[in-house]
Amino acid sequence: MSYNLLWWMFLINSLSIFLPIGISIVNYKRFDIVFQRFSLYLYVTGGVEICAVILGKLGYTNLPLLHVYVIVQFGLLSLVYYLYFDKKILKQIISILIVVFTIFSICNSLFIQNILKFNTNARALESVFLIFYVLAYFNLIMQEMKIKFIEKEPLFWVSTGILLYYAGNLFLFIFSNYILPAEQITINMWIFHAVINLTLNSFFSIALWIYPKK
Amino acid sequence: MDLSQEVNVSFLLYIGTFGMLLMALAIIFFVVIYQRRLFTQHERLQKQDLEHQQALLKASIKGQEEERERIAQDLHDEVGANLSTIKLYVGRLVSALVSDEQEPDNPLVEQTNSMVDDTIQSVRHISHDLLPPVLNEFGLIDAIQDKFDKISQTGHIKTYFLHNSPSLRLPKFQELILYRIVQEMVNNTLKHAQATFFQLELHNADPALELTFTDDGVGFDLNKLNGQHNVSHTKGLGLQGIESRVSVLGGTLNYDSAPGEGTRISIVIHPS
Repeated sequence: MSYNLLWWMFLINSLSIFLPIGISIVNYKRFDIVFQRFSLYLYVTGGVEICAVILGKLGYTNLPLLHVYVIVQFGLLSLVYYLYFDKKILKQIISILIVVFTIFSICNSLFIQNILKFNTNARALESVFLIFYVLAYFNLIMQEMKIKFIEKEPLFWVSTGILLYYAGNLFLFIFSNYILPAEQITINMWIFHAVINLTLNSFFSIALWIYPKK
Repeated sequence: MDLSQEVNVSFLLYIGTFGMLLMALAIIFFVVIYQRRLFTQHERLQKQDLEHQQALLKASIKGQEEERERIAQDLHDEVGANLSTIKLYVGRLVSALVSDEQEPDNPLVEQTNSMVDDTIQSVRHISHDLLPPVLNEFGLIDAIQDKFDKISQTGHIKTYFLHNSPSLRLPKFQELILYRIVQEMVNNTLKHAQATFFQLELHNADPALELTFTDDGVGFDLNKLNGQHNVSHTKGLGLQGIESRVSVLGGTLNYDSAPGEGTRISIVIHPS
């Protein structure tokens, strides 16, 4: 794949987060608390994306930013599911997972993968926890039988995007420190990451677009 | 990292990613397909349950009406006839007293006569209320008109009955249920609304039959009614009775009201 094509691909990938952000800003007033918090997650992600580009242009590494962002990202996505779930046990599990993940991420950044390294351990754990949320959500909608047309359910699209993204990237997060940056496999996997990230943002956009009118 | 380790990592990475992605897609596919299937099944069960409830409700209302009819008949044929006989006997007793010149002007005789007359009237009213003879003989329109006229004659409240189908006749059970609905709406207005008038519009828009009942009474707060968890308790027996009867006829019911702004109840049914 030519360098030019790769560059365009990564540019589109970086900008793709601004599509759901745009839709969320337009529709924000009609969102319930769950999607207002989800919008907040998008805004934070968009902000981090801009900061990362600026830091890169200035010649600084953006990896320390990623160490902080992963905690905030997990916290906000956890909050989305926390607000959606009614069951007390699920709320308790989410609260515990937020605490566990935050402590683990901080310890990981301090003692295992310092802030100048890619925090793959935290990303891998985040993936496992978020996959758990999605499976809990799927289980809940199949138990409750309240949704007739699942394709019209915004959180289903969000959850589908999260499941595809984090399940698809889990092994990449686990093994990325064991493969060298210049290897063909690394390039292939980051192309795959870009494609699946694009899918994630497209699914987020669909979710926010189909959000029912008041 | 030597070559064999590199190959292992690459292999694990590709296989792991492919496997996870495949599993995620399978889960999503499973959820979409089975959720739809389960929902359809769930809906079918709910529908069956609803139909069963409807059948039970219909049977219960039918049983209630048959019992009312029986009581009305017994009151008219047995109690009414006996009271008329008692009245005759009292008359004969008075005649006998007159002929024997034994205190014919005794106030007890007057009182007994008057009480027997009142009781005969009461029995007739109860019997007619239970099963209006006009309804059986002349149909719903005449029965409603008769009821409204009687209420108007009291002079306490004005009544208006507007319809576009003077010769309308429906199956006996449907006429009876519709009459009961009207009776319940009127009773609610008379008991609670403090209205100066009420009006019923009956519009026969074949195949639909639309009934619109309005009054200018005190009304009620719909938000309070809808916001309560125990809706049936808040609605009271009146509205509940109307709702269950409308549902037995397979119709739809809407009510609109606000404090101080009267009440409007619309019913649409599709008589067979």
